[in-house]
Amino acid sequence: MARRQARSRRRSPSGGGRIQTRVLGRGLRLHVLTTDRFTTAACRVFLHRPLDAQTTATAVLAAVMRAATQGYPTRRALSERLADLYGASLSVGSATLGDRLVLSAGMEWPIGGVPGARGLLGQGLAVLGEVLARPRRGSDGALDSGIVRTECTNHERALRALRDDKGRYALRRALQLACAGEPYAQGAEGRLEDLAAVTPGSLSRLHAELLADAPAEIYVVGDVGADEAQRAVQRHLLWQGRSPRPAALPSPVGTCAGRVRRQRVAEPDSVAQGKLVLVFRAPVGASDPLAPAAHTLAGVLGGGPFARLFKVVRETHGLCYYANAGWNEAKGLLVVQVGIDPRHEGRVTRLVQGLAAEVGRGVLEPEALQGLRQAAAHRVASLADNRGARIGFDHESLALGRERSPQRWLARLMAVRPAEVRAVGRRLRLDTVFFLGGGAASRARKGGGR
Amino acid sequence: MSAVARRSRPSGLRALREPLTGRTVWRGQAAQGSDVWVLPMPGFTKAYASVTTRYGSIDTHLPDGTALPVGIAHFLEHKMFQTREGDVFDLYAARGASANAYTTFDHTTYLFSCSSRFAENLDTLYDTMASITTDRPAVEREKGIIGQEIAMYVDDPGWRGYFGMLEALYRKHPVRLDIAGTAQTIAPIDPALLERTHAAYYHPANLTVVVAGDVDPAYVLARAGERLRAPRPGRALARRACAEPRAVARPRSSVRLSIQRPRSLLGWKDAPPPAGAARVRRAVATGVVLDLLFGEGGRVQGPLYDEGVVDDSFGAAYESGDGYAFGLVSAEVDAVPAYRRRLEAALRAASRSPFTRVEVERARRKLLGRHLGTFNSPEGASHWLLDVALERAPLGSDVKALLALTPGEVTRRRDALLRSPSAWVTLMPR
Repeated sequence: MARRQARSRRRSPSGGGRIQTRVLGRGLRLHVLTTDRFTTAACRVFLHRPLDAQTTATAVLAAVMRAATQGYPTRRALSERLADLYGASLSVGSATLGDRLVLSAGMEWPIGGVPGARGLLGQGLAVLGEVLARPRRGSDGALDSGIVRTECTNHERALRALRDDKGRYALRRALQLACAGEPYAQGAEGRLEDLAAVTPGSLSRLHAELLADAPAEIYVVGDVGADEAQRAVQRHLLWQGRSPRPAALPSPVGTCAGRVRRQRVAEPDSVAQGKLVLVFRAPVGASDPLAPAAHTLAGVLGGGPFARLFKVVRETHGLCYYANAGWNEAKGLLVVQVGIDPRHEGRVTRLVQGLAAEVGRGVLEPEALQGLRQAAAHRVASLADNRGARIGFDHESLALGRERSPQRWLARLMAVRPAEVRAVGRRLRLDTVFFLGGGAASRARKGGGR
Repeated sequence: MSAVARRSRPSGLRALREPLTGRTVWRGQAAQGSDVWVLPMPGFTKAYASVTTRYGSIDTHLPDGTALPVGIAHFLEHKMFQTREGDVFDLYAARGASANAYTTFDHTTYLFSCSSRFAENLDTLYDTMASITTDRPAVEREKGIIGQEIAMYVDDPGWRGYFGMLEALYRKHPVRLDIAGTAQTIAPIDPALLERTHAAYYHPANLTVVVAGDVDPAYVLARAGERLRAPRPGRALARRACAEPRAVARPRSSVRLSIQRPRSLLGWKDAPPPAGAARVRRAVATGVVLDLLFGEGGRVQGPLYDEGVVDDSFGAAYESGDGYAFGLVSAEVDAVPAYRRRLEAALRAASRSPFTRVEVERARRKLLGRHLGTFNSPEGASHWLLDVALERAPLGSDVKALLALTPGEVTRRRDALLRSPSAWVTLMPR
């Protein structure tokens, strides 16, 4: 208890709103947010690489790392260790960040408030370090062939089943079509045709390359000071074999203008609800001075129940249950998603285009603009209560070259003028319309009912 | 958070202690009977508040015996946001609050979270419950919106499997009916029926208030007393009992859907749960059973995953409420018959020996840690507190039950659940 009080004197009175960054060398950075707000600590490690032909392999590698380690050689042994750490939750996965792929490994676990809590910080970091650096290997030194085989099969199943989540599939297809020819088109899951090349040997080389060369951001959030966190990370988490000079990656931000003639692609599917996705493009990246205006445009159009899509398409016309829009600042994409009766595809497409054009002209409905600004203020204020969101905001800011301080980012959003939204609107072009639906079940449902 | 966060003497409130963290939960009763629970969370920016009526989709009749259309509880939830002053969402949005609502089998909850202007938002939440303002065009328009919500779930294999299982397990209990109803069942809903339903089930005496955040419990209670008012006294309503047979409705059923991979679900129809702390204890013991069998590396999950029979889609759940209790195991699979045979064999193998002290201790640690994690956010804490309030069991029953569990009790719970009447449901590609 005395130790806890000594630590708390070092904290800011707000419970620690500022992230402290330490450069550990060899492309590793440590970011620590000291706060006693949470009952568990969290650590997340992000390893960056290009979004390229190894994307599928990276997704499989994440699953292999999550399966077993040299020290915990079975799933059961690893899960028992996590249970012993009071139900520590462990996740390993890969995701796109613009034109980059990020493999992340994270854990949350109690470091106080439970019986026998002493030393839990180091024990948890040690497990995460083991998962990152010592996945289970076979006698030949390569990653365990049985685990690799199992996870390749599972990944193949997951890729084949992507279409079962209709909304997610429609979004993925729309982005694939809009960004054809760009790295972003393939998505974090990768492609079925690349799976055949994934072997224990190839995964071992990819794993070694990631550990040695990938720029790495490490986050620690919890009731721990920056010095103590750094000591614990260096002692328990960091791995051997880091290159003196890790790879320099190109920026993940890659924007371009939308195509001159928009494309429309429809895929028939016997669904009850059609999924309509409209992708607009504008060459406005995350660090562009117009980025806050692009967020404003997307927010006023479809950022919540205050926005135009909700008010017009749902509330006035009763055409949908959900209709939203979001701005992808890494790619300069405005993405609109609506779930509709397939009979209304044309009508809803026209409504969305009309509303996007209206907002793009700088016509900002006062309630929608106020709603957007207040919602953004709430989100920024709430970052202090949500570790995952706080880490995500900071990590993306660093990678995209965006304003790192949430408060300053908010101030820029609050200062956006209609003329700036008009400037984004002038550069915005509808690129792709994708529609999933119109199959047998859709036609059968014209009379309604389940 | 403004003046609201200042601590005032919590008169009319009783202090209850959460046994694991030692946190204080305040409980009181507002003037017309609303049950008020507040968990102060000093230092948090966000506050999370909800008002819940003990009225959900399994309440199929008005207290006078009038049968209600299937889906009306959910329909009413949608229409409660319309007031004479306009859309309640607009009021919240203007203050930066995030508002929502949801309908379950046995309750309907209205909520908001905010990082400022808590007092105004709380008044809006309370006032929303007082009356329903709607007209025929608005109700007809809402049928289109809800029709699309229903359609969205029709295409969701997780939802279809879940309700496919409930239809297979239950013959009479309304838990077998989709919460939102169908386009046909909601068609007859009109403003008059919504008003009657609101009058019956939204009386302050039937409401539970739950707030978590850096707020003053006395203020929350005082405003509930002033704002949650009705012209006449009322009482918390008792739920109609349903004589559900012990046997399942359909031991095997299949649904065709636009999917690529088949799904298979195995469900057990558990005996209806006891009341209060005994229900909590049974739910906690069942949670440990599911973790030890179907959790990561569990007696069933471990071998099936290693053999490649199941993947990350494999999972188990248990739910219980008034007159119903069921467990289910769900997986996306390549070949349904082979999966069934393997799962049944694994279940037999896993049931041959009692759970050991080491297994139960490990599960206990894990669940204690997870419980601790619920206090990481006002949302998590608030959801836990609402469960406590609706269970009508003493605060801390869950932690006490977890600490008291023995291998023998967990083994008996496993055997009772796995010997219950069961059903298989399959989702096949069209």
